[in-house]
Amino acid sequence: MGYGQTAMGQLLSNGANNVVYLPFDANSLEVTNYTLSASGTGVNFASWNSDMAQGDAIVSTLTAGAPVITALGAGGNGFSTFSAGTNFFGAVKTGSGITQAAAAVVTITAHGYQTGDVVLLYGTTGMLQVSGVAYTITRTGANTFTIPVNSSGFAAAATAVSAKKVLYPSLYFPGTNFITAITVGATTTVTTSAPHKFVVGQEVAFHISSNWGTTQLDSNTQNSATNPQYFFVTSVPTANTFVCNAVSAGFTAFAYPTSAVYATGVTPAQVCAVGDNNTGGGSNGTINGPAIFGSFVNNTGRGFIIGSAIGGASTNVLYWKAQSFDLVS
Amino acid sequence: MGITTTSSLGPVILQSLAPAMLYVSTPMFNYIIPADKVTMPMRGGTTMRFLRPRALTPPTIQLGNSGLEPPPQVPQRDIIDAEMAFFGTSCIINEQVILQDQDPVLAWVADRLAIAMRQAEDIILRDYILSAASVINCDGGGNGDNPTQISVADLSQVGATLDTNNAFKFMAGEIGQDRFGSAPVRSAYFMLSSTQIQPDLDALQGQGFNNVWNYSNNSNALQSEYGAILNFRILTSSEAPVAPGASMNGRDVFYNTCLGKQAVTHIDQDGYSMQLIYRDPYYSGPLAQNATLGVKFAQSQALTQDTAIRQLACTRGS
Repeated sequence: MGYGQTAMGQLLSNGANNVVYLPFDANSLEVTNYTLSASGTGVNFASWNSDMAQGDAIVSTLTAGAPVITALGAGGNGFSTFSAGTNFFGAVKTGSGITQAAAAVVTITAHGYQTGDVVLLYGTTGMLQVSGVAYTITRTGANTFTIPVNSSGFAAAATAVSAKKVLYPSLYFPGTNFITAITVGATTTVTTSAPHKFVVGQEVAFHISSNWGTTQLDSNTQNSATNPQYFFVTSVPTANTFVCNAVSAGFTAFAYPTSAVYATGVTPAQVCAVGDNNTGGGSNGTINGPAIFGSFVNNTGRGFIIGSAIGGASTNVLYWKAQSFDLVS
Repeated sequence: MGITTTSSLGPVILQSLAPAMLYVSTPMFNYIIPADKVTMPMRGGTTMRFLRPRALTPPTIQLGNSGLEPPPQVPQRDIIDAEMAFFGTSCIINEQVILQDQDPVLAWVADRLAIAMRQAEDIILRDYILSAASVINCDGGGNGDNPTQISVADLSQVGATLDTNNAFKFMAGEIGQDRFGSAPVRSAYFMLSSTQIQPDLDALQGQGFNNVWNYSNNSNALQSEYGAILNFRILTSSEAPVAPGASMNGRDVFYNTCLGKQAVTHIDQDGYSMQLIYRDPYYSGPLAQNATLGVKFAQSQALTQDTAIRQLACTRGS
């Protein structure tokens, strides 16, 4: 009896990086793009084995003539495997600065990040108030990306920055999130630096010191002889924003402290999950089965990523195979 | 006349196996210690649900003599759910290893698997707390970073926060004794810290930090206990969370988990707690070549008292 494992499946490409969870670590991967095979153009087949670098793949590209076989090379957005059991960071990259803008622009030559990646920024020269926090980035070019921070009112741009990618940003959710913006009113809209993973009905607590303005939302504002102040999420417009039932009209506006004040040791404004208000069932797509929305969930996992270079366009039909061989020589 | 020596004879095996295996460096498993323990019953579903009633408003307003009833209060409760997850790992050992190796392979592999399982339990709880508990940055140190190194002012602030939230302390403090260099240790919260900040804690001696060897009676001290200060008993481990280069100035950030009772709850599964499984080679195939050793367990965790836990983030003083 052998101990190797095999798995296969089908998915509709999202046009970017497609994540496939497995119960084992694969050392051989294949993907066939059925849609492009039928049309006769594009990358219709790719393969990888564990002797190749992460991001590499042997690729078959259909053109007007015979298929062209090439190798993507390391980091080529081919196949990548992951085994996300604990927190890891990617390689350190250094850049030239961060601008003052409605969505601050970070400049790092050949950063290699994609939209949706979570990146920790630190070691800034100037604009210290954005340092030491991980952000969901939006790629705007090979050398630039934006973060969800409105730095247009900051005193000066940053003239240096270091960054590293948070490889597995949501191993456990929902959790504590750093706040980058709050819009007060009849309801309260909150923007977080990284995906908050909250659901409708999530019970949340704010931890906001006087350095950030909107202290009226802080969970300890109320007389602690009764109850801490909690709110419920009423809608989730994006992965980085949510609306809660806090009636905050007239509250102090949210504002970043100055760079000099932040340097004295200011704690970032945060919002945490403290419970849920859901009684229904549903699936969060977790490995061990259905979960109640808003429950605390372990999201560690292993599997592989079909990179954007081999995953085709959005809605392309992909057939994949994964194998773990007993004997690898 | 030639003397026959070990050099002139043909090669022989000259080594003897030492009687005992050398120890394996193993970190302290601290995160399970202050956690509340709950068991998911068999056939109890996938999710453990916790309920916490909210306090009612004390009736401090006099009724008067009208005979009219004041408005009633509506009781409320908070709901916290945690989904069970299953974990395991194994080793496959060819029979030739068992047959020919001189050391007790099955025994020490079983030992290592059991330790790996306990370590996984603690790491999972550690990483969950790191993601779920709110953070307070140290600002009382003087290294110019954000967060700074740990200081008495920071510990005092966290202690005051937990006290203001009416968090429950852990009991079993130490009373004072007539002995030079000793001091009483009162009922306290726990602070789970990294061994790497021990020099910064030592620097707080004279400001209230009391090393464990100065306890009036340290026979009740926990194995990983390093000392106490203010309202905190400090346990250190090399496995405490650290975010490399994540401070404002690129220093490593250490997370000191300060917590009271019931802040975090660990949930295990009835009928599935930490199993060590051995399968004889008989089950491996027609030639019965391979034995297997495996461990598996189920676990979940929940932040059951958000007000009773804070992650005190700090950097090193130097």
